[in-house]
Parts: sequence; structure tokens; C-alpha cells
Amino acid sequence: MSIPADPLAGRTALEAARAGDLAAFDTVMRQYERLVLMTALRLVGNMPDAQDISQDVFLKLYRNLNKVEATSLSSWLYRVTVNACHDTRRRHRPEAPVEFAEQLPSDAADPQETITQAERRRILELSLRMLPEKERAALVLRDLEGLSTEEVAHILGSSEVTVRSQISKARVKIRDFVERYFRRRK
Amino acid sequence: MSHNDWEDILRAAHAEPIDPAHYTAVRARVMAEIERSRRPWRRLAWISGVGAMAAAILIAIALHRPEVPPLAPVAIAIPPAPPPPVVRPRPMEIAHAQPAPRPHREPLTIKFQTSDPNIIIYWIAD
Repeated sequence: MSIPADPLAGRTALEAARAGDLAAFDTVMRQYERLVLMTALRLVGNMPDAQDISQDVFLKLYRNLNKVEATSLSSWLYRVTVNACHDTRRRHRPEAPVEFAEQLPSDAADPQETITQAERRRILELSLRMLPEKERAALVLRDLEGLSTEEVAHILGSSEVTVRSQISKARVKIRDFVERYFRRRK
Repeated sequence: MSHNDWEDILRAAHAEPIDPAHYTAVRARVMAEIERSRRPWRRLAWISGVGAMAAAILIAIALHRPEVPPLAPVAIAIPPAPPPPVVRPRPMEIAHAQPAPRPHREPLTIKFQTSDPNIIIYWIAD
């Protein structure tokens, strides 16, 4: 689980933020901003929406400082972020479906070695975009954020069996997508 | 491609750092929103503070108002009525008011006889 470093300092900052210390709240945001923004970015697929969601999540945290336990803050933030992403996706138009790996621009002979950062990002973005929302959330939290299946189930409000099934399906789809991409390049 | 290959690619992509300006922008927006949401409370607190202070001042004034001595009983002195003016009676009035005693006389009685023998009129003059 990608818990920010030095949780003790985080707890102290959270307590100070509860007492009304804005600088302490800024510290809390700095500790968890990557967790929130990157999760949102993977789930909604674009930075402007991810930033809007991050803003909403941290404002919600500020309003609920006295209700959120320091020990479960990461889990709380993941859950609120996933829900906010769900709301955003529901409001917005559906994304264009990803049908062909040909959308990935590359003509290198050995993609595994020469693949660039930009390509990796593009592969990640497109492969996540083709997944249904629940499978995407489960895969992002489990495989990219490194949470346990139990934590993912808790955050998504599902059973572990459901989460395992979702992750399994998502992995198969992504593997097929990436394999098609590299087959084409050989 | 093995399972680990594609998973490594995705993890590597996910782990790539992003421009710190994205985080800074989010933090700045959050802090600005918090400041904005705090302002009405500050104004309300300021107004209620002023109101409380005014009320305290009014109460203090009411409690520490200088003692006003009770009004002295007002003695209502009604001056005695002035003596009635002495009116000297005019000589004629005196004469009427105080007739001189006259000597007692027998009243003058006049008897009238009418055509009707049953009716007799007596006229007594004093």
C-alpha cells in the first residue's frame, strides 16, 4: 500500500490541522497529494479532471478532519477519490473507445528496450481507458497502487471475490492489448 | 510477453513523476477555497463580536447608572383663601337690608261682597 512516508509526522500534522493550523493541513496535502492525484489521473484519464477531483477530495478532507482517523486516512482518501472519479465520469461524455493498438505510435525494432517514457504513458493510458470502470478501479488500486485485495474490496465496497474477478478480467484485457501492440511492431 | 513484462511497463509508467506544478496548482486551489470559505465566518464572528461588545456596554451602563436620589416629597401648600373683600353696602341697600323696626299694626282687611251671596272675598293688606 502506498502509504506516505513517515506516518507519525503525518499524524502530528493531521492533529495540528484539526486544531485549525492551515500550514499543517498543507503538510497533510503534500503527503497525500500523489496518492490522490495519480489515482484520479489513472481513473479519469486526464489531468484537468484529476486536478478538479483532487481539489474536491482535499476540501472534503478539510471539512471532515475531525471524523477521519489518522490510521485510516489513506483508505479514506482512496475511497473518496474513487467515488469522485465515478461522479465525474458519470457527468462527462463517455470516452472514445480504444479499439486498436495501432493508435500507439512506434516503429522501433525492439520495443521492450527502446520504449520511451511517453510510449509507456500512452500504453498505460489507452489500456486503462478500454477497461470498464469497476475493473479499472480494481486494477489501478491493486496493481498500480499496490493495495491488497482486502483493502481494494474495502475501498470499492465489494467483496474480495468480486475484486479478484475484476482484476483477473482486467489483466487479461490489458495483456492482450499490450501483446497486440508489440506483435504489430515486430 | 510474460505477465510481468506488461505489468512492469504499466507500473513504470504509473511511477513516473509528474510535473510538480500539477500538485502545486491543486494545493493552491484548495488553500484559496479554504480561505474563501473561512471569510464569511470571520465576518460573522466580527459582527457578532461587535454586537456582543455593544450589548455588554449597554448592560454595563445600565448596571452602573449613578444613583438618583429619591425625589423629596413635594409639600403641596395650599395658601389660605384670601379674605372676602369687604363690600360696603350702599346706603340704599342698607336701608333695604336693615329696615327700621316699625310699630306693630293690625292688618287691613277689606271685605268684598259679590253678587253671589255664597262668595265673599277678603283682601288682607299688611
